[in-house]
Amino acid sequence: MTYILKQIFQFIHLLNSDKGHKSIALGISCGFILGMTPSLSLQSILIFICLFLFRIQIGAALLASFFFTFIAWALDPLFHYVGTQILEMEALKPFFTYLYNKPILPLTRFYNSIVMGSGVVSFLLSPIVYFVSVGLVKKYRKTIVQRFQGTKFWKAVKLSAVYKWYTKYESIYG
Amino acid sequence: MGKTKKKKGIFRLEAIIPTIIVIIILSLYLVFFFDSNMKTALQWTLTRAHGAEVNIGQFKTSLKDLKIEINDVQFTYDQNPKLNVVAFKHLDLKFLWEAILQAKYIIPTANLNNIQTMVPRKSPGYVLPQAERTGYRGMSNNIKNQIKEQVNGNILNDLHEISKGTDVEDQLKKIQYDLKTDQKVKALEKELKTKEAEWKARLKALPKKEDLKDYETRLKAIKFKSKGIKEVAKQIKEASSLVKEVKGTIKTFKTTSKDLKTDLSHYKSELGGIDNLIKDDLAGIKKKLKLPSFDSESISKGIFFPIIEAKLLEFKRYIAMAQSYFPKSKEKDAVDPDAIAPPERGKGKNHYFPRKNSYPKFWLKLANISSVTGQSEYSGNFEGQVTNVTNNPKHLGLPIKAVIKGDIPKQKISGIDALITVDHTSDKPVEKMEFTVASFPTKNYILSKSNDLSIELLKSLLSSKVTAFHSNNNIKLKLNNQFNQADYQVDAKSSTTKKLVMSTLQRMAALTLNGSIEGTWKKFKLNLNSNLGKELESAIKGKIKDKLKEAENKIKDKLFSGVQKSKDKLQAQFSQFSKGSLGELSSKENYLEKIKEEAANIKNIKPDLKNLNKKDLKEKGKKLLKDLFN
Repeated sequence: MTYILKQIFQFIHLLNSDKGHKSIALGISCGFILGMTPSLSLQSILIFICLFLFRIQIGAALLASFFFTFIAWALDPLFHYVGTQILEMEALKPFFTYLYNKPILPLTRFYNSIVMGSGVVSFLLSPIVYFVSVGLVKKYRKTIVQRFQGTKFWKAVKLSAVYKWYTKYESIYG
Repeated sequence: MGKTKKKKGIFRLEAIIPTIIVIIILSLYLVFFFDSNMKTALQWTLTRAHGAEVNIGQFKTSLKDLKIEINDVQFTYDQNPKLNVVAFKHLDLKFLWEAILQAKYIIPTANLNNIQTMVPRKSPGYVLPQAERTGYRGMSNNIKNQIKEQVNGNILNDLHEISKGTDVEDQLKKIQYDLKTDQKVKALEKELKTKEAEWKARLKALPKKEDLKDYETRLKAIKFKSKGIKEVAKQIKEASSLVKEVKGTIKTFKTTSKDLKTDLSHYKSELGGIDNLIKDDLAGIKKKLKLPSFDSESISKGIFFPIIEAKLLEFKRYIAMAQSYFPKSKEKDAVDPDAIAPPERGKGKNHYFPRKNSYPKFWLKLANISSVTGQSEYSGNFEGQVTNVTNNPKHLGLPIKAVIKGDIPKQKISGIDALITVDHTSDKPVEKMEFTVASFPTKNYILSKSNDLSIELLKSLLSSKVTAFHSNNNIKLKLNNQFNQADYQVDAKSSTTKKLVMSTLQRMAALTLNGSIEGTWKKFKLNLNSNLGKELESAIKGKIKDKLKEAENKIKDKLFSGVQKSKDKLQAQFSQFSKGSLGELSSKENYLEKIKEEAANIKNIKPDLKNLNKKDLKEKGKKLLKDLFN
């Protein structure tokens, strides 16, 4: 839990800094895929491994996953429809039969209509989510953060002892 | 010199330690807690499936061998929670690695050993209410309602009420019943009044006595003035006109008479229908009062229906539970919507892509059941096999079969023989079961329990055969039970009933209970018979039949005496009216007929007079011509 909280604080810190926008956008993309997947399956585990292995903002991924889960719940009928259409395509039947009878691959539960539908939709949309996230982070920093930093309130905060302690702590422990 | 931070690479190296920690935690969980959690989960699931507490002594998994061992499993007997209906010491299941990697669960062989039955529990197990049992949801009401329709569940109370001499008048005061007869009599009274007025007006419009006398006067005038041809011709003309007029009047009378007769006959049949209405009303009131018919089947159903109801509910529950594990055919979904709950949201639909000869998702190829009588007095000799338990029998092309035979000599249980076939290999799934036990000692077996009567078998030797068939919602269930060497305990609200049932039971060498259910889940026919019913019927016939008759007569007196009086009054009024009006019409009609006849007689001489007239005219003509030419 501490680790997760730390990641979320880091995400807020990073979001308000001037670096790491790609890492945040990647985190949001991964969170999007995680959130859209209905249950724990092999691809979710793979995404988690990627999150741990590569320098992707985990806090962003967790927050995005939490947010997109609610959207996915409402989109279930759409995913079911898309998944059913794909799984019932005659041309793909031999391919699915091959996958279904191979080791490991069935663990992805690709044969489930919602898993297939949400998987296809989320993987196809994840690059778009990535680029949109990059744009939004940049815009957020330009408009909201800069404007906020120009306010009297923020200037007053920056002069306070608490903020000085915080910057000292930040420089020591990162 | 300021410290420059080292640029971080693409890999999150600092995550290695947390990852290792997570892996260690997971491994520790698998080693120390997984089995225990699985045991709890399995206990919970089996308890809901079985309907009473299921305990598992040990659940052991071996990841290396892909093996599960389950030891000391106890299934609580829901009829007597102090006992386990079945217990076994050991079950092992070995899975195939190649299948597990395909997310499939294939068990080539399983072994079930050391089966015991009717073993006392250390502490009584809990029994789940039916509504909490798996597969029960939404199916009970229809079955219960159908049984309720076919069974007089109050027969024991009726027996008690009638035998103590129930006060029918009191009951009649309590029930609200609108007599159809009463309503009909009132309607007929009203109708008679209206018709009477209507007919009086119509009769009044008919020619009166004076008018008829006028015809007579006219007739007399014709008779006595027959002098001279001219006069005769005039009289004939008058007679013709009279006949015509009288005929018209007679026609009016006849039409009126016909209409009246039709009305009267309709009314008469309506009056006659009151007797049938009285019968209907009597049946309706008897139903409301629940005056029972004490035949053997009604008695058997009344006493033993809870047993068959419980068996049927359990049967349906097991069918629903089994069906939920098989792929559902579209036809079945349409026919039996309440049997299987629709898939929950977010679950989606699984599509299967099997190859010929590929594994289904789950397949228990063979489970060997073997047990030998050991030191424990509850262990027995059992032998059996369960084959081809799978989630996709159509793909496998093999039905699920379970054959178990055995006995437990120390418990005096013998001749256990069970054959279960679940054939879902075609579009017409069939489930069959045959279960026989030649001899089974029962203790404290409750045959019937209600506020009115409870019959408990303190001890007996039960011989039982149950056959069940189910296919596409069609059911056939047959039960044949015989309780030998039985000791009974009877409790009843009424001492008369208690005495009657007890003495009947003591006279019987064995108690039989046979039943069958046939039809569909939505509409089935229940038959239930017991020799106790037959014996009670003959005992009751002597004692209670007179009281029933007396009660029936009381109802007749109380409710229908007034109706009868009204009916008689109405009948008298009707007779008087019909006699009077029809008599009047008939006498006038006869009178007119006579006038018509006499007038017709005069008219009949008309041709002669006409001839005479012609001859006379001819002579006159000749004479005139002679005078003219001379």
